[in-house]
Amino acid sequence: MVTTLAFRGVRYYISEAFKSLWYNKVMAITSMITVMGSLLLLGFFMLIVVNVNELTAQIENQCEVQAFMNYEATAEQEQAVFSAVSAIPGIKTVTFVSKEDAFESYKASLGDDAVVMEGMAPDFLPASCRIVAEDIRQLQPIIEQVKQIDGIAEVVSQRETIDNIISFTSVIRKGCLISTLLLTIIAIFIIANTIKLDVHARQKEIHIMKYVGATDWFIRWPFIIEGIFVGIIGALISILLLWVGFASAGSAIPDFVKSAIFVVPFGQSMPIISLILIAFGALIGALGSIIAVRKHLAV
Amino acid sequence: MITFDHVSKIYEDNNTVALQDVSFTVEKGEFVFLVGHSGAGKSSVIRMLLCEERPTSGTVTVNGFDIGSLPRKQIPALRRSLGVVFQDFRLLNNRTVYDNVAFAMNIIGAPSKVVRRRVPEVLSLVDLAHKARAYPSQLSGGEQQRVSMARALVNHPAILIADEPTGNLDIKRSDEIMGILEKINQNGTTVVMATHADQIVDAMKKRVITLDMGSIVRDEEKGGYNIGV
Ligand SMILES: Nc1ncnc2c1ncn2[C@@H]1O[C@H](COP(=O)(O)OP(=O)(O)OP(=O)(O)O)[C@@H](O)[C@H]1O
Ligand SMILES: [Mg+2]
Repeated sequence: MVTTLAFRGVRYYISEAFKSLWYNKVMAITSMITVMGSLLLLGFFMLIVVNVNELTAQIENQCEVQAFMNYEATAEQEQAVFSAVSAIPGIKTVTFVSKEDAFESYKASLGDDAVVMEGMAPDFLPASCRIVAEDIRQLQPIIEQVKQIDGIAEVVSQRETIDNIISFTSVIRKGCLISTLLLTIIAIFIIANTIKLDVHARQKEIHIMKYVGATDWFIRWPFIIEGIFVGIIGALISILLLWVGFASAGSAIPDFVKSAIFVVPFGQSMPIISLILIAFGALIGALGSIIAVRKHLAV
Repeated sequence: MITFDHVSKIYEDNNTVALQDVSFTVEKGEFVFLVGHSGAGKSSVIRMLLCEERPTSGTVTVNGFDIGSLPRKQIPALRRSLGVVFQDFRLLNNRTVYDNVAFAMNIIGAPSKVVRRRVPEVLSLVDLAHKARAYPSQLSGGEQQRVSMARALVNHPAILIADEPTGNLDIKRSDEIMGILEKINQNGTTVVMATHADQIVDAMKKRVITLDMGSIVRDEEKGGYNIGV
């Protein structure tokens, strides 16, 4: 009994919602476009943030400190320094780079120009430790401790570059978050306004419903379904546009640029972003409707 | 059914005293007219029965609901036990006569089988079975009021409340409305009706409560229309 009643209710709400969408076609389409616009931007921001996050993580992982040992150190002393460095907490990996390794890799990095190194002693570069921290934020304390170790001549890190990148990405993240928040609020109010017009046009009907003993939720549901429908359609269009937009832009961009922009491949991030956009569209629609009907229920 | 116990109503926005120390009781099956000059407080009484307004002091009880302390969530339950008719009909112009009446049943979640049986029944009670597919704009004022009565009656209310139901109708149409009210009252429904229609009140010989400036000045069985000058 309860379920059939509920089912009948749901059917009634949905049919009421679609009737009113039909009566208010123009307004419904206007709100759909508004929602679509905000969600399009939101989706775009999410794509940026996903990529920026991944990029930051990669930089953090690659973030390396090179601790150079005294040039005069003997092999035993080098091993002692290496053990001392390895003992520092918070380090993910330490690689020992001997004088010979350094020479070879330097030579390799010069490529064809390696001829300039001919005749140089293979031990003209000092040995070093390459250190990768578990967490970028522990890097500074690690550097301090490495400097204390006897036999360390110099510690070199790309810290400043990394700091710059990290603060830049966090600005992007915050910017996207704030814009998203603003866009969401704007979208909610625009939907609320559209549905308000609808509610206003049906004020008499709402009052009559209340006199006959309709509950607030009975009156609210059709409007909420209407809002959710508008929100979801807006979301679907924005997803379609994002997809089409990136697919066509994608074929115009050379692959190596694409791999730099899309740290996370589009096809991999988009399904989740689409789901989030649909959920957001529905939420925006529902909230807009609740705001729109609120005032008219006090009879 | 209905008790007003030392009820006063002050509208705070303009400090109007609409009702002052009003007490009366309406028993099940009674037919009561509320009369008085314009502004005497008739509609204020009606609105309190519907919990559209609440008493400033005193207690109002309707069908067991205490209006003064009724939680908002309980208001639909109160209104489902009442039927209401207004002077201006309050029909939905974009729905047929049938749908206007069925709508009141949909709201309370009545099964569609019951709706399909009950709506024609109540439409023939108000003698409008043949107009079921018409829209309100295609009906005369009297017919529209009968639709609104059908809607008020469709859920078998214990009390029918009417605020000047004949206010927009000529005497012939008014008599039709009164005929229906009398019929449903004979079937056991309590009727409370606010009105200015002196001839109707005089002809019906029912209980008459007369209000003047927010107070009851007369309450007579088989009374007549006498509001003073
Ligand atoms: N919502 C309101 N806010 C403020 N004052 C009100 C309100 N409703 C009624 N009043 C005032 O309360 C008094 C009683 O009004 P009420 O509508 O109850 O009279 P009435 O007997 O129904 O009159 P009428 O015969 O003209 O319909 C009047 O002075 C009126 O101006
Ligand atoms: Mg009145």
